[in-house]
Amino acid sequence: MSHTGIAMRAVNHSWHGLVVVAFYSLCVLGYASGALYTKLTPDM
Amino acid sequence: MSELLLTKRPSGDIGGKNHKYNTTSYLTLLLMLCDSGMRKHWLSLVVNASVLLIVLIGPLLVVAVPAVDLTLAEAYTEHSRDQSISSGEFFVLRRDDDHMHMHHGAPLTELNETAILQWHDPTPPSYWSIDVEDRDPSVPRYPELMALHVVFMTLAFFFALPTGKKFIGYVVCLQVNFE
Repeated sequence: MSHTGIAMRAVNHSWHGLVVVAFYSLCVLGYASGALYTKLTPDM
Repeated sequence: MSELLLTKRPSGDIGGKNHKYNTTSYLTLLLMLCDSGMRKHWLSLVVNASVLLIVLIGPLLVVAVPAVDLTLAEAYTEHSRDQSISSGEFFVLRRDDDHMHMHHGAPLTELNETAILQWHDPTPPSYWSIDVEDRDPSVPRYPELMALHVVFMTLAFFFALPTGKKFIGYVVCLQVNFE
């Protein structure tokens, strides 16, 4: 499975999938806010 | 091309310490991956042997380079700046001839900022200064979005990524991998 949620993956924790989903959604949100900032700020 | 690469190396990096370090750590990582993943022992032996060979021989090759480096630099110091620009050797010269590093004599007591601006674009203002410190009220700014970006990325890479059962993060993952 995915390599994110490193420690949970190592111990086969049942919430591992949830953490992976959280990681990717946080990434999307992070990149989205960054991109939006660059788009909205003039002379960037 | 090889000359260009040789002289562009920072002059403080004699002996290529940084380069050696990078290569070695990269190859060590490769070695660990091979060890953990390979079932066939003869294959892992072949891979490990060649990787070890590169690790041992590589630094020697890098150490041999500065001799060439120095002679090149001396040869090019003879040229004037105009000559070197017209002859296309500008990039080779830039670091040691014109860059205000003086390896002989007293150090500069004052930095010549005009000379720096001749070679570099001025450093652009930071996000913090354009959004918060020197904010121009007539221009729309969105520091909230940057703050969100920082928060989300921090949560993602420092919390969600290494999360474990009792949040021991990287420690757990290292221990498990080495067992």
